[in-house]
Amino acid sequence: MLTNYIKMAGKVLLRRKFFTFISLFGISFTIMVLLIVTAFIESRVSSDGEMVNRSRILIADRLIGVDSSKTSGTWSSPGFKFLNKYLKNIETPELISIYSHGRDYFTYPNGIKLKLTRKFTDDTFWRIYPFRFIEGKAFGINEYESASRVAVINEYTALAYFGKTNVVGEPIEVGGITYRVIGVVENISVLNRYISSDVYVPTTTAKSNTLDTFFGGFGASILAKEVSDFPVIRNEFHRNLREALKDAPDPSRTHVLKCVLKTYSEMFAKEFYNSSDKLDHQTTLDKTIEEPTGIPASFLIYSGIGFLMILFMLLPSINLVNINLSRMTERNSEIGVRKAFGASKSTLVGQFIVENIILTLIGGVVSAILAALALNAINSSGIIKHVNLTMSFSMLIISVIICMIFGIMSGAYPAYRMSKLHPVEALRGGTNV
Amino acid sequence: MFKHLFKLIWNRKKSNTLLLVEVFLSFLVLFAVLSVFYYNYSFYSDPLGFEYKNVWIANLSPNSDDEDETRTNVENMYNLLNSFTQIESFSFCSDYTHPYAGNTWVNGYKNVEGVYVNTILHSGDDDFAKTAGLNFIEGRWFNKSDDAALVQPIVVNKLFKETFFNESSVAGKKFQRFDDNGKPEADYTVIGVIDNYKYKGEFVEESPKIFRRFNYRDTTANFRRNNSILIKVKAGTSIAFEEKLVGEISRITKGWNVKVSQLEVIRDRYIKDKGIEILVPSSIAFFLILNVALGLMGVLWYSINRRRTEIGLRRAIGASGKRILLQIIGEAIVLGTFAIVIGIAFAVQVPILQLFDTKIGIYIAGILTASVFLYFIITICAFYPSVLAAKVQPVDALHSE
Repeated sequence: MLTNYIKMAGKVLLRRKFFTFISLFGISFTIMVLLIVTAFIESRVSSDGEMVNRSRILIADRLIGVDSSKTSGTWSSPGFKFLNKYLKNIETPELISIYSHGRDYFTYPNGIKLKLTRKFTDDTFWRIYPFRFIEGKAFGINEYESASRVAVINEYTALAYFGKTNVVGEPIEVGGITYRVIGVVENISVLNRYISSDVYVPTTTAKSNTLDTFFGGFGASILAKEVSDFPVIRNEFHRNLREALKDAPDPSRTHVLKCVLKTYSEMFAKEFYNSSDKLDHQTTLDKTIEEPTGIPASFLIYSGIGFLMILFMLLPSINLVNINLSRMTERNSEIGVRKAFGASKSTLVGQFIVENIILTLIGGVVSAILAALALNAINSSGIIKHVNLTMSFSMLIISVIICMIFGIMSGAYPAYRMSKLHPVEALRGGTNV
Repeated sequence: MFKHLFKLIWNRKKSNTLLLVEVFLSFLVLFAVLSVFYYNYSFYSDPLGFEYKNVWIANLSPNSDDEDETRTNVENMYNLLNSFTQIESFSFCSDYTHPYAGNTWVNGYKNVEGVYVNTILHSGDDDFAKTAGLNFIEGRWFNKSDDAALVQPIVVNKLFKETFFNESSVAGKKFQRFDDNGKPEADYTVIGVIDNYKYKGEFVEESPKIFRRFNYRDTTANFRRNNSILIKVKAGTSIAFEEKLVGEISRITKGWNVKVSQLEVIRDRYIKDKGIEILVPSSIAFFLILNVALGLMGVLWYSINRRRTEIGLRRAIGASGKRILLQIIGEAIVLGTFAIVIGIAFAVQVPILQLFDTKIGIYIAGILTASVFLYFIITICAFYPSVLAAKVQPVDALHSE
């Protein structure tokens, strides 16, 4: 029975090639875009590998000093002095890591110009973010405190600088300082901007003026023991902020210091909803203390993304319904003949469902191939440094099911209506469907 | 004619509703994408205000806090850079001043009407205007004669002049900045007005700006803030000079870190990133519209097949093939007009509710081009089915009945 349906579906689909093409084009393109978008989102929200502690991490990313009239202020990342003095001493968290923003340096190994990003960090960094080491190991508290000139480099750097990955013990020169390589880690995409870099070195090897800044250049990750500790940590830090005020440069002009600890989800939600810098500057000036909204960030993200996806799928699905409806009316007489020869309602509806499922499955396969090609092209093009996007198979299945629902609704419903018609009417062409 | 076409569409309103919704949604998609495009283009077409060809930027990080040592190093650097024949001109400026700088310094200035004008601050030495290629509307850039100035001289941009003063000529005007308690804090004299200086790049809106003078001979000058050198090199200077420059600077400064980049390279990267930002939604919109266009064509084609008898009858009572062709295209266009009118009703809500802070012309251009584009697509999609319809022979059509 089923093989018969499948054979019939094949014949029907090949009969009107143009229409099959339109349906297939719509289905596969829509699913492909959804797959690519999901790959990007997944790279931001996944808790795999080095991001295993993601849900327990708070980020200190921005420090804002505002004067009393709220008309001028300094928007910047926090500086090392500020973080080291007023964040590092919080007691509730399990671990706190302070790291600099990656800065690019040109080096000239073997006469080739090579751009490398260098990040200052500490020993706790490697415990909050357990990187996968290809060679060697991370630097520990001893290397950090003795300001040893050691470096952990990523695979890309090892290959570009040395041409191989077993380089532990070799010297590497970045930003005018020569370090000894002690570990090689896998590449981290720049989309994960807090931890992505080419060369990681102990912060203590930096020059004194880098370490003596209140504003600028650094950030911190705080690993809480439990997610429920977040309010306690925020409160503790908030008290410290008031104390930090007297240490701020130009204290007569800085009346309020703002530095909100945010989870990864909250950072992503903020980026998702207002990417405009200008808007952000104004709102932060107006609000004395920037508080999280109370609505869970992950809910904001998923509802926003879900809404956009439905909006995006609306047009292709209406198109699919439209095409299917047209197709069905064309087959009125076919249905009439089958009814006249005694086909039951369920047989007819079943046949159309099988037809739609086959069409959607072909669309799903085509879209998976297209998405894999596109993701591969994005990964290898180098548009986004070190990016490694992978296809989400759960998303593939979800979108195929959604397309199938539309297909079945639009194909099977008219078929059901037709199947209720009297064979005589149906044979005439049953125009009043 | 239109009344008749409307009647034809109304008679088949059930099957036409979906088509209408489809065209309506396509209109919204096109409107959104085109508005974003015009929005970006309006910034792009506003002049950049500086030169990027053959201009390099060197960022310095000193390795000591010693004021005197820093001063000697800066003086040595002035002498060194003056000695290179490859350099046409150069200027020490702050790392929130040079083109494509990553940093920003904002200050609020209250004008006579009591309105705060959020202003971006810049600072550079006497050769900055020449090196960056700034265009003057009135007045001049800083020079030696400002050494003796009693009131701090500043140069402002056109937008600052318009938003702060709202007067036709402002060169030589004085104004004050007040502190939080309303006491005068600083006095300024405007000595020049420049045109745009969109230092963050082509696609960033111009904002009010004030330039202050950096004079390294002045003992109170803050070198820490003016730690970048903008360098205009002679055309054809090779990249090898970059390595030499970096080497010489770190030699005479005894180990300062120097990072040199070419503005042209930074700009290429910037334009490329922005291009991707525009290209991704545009290509998605393109495929959506293509999808709709193909669907529209298919549905029209089917309806022609179903209406063979009707068309045959019309031919039999004397309608020419051309009239049939016009009728089918006309029907599609009337249907499209409905959808577009509904679409416009939705689209105008965006400027009416002031969802985004932009010029109204962008929306008008967006609505107009989206409409024209949709009419074009509808006509193309209706053309092939209507040619088929025009070919219907009365005999065949009536025979099958």
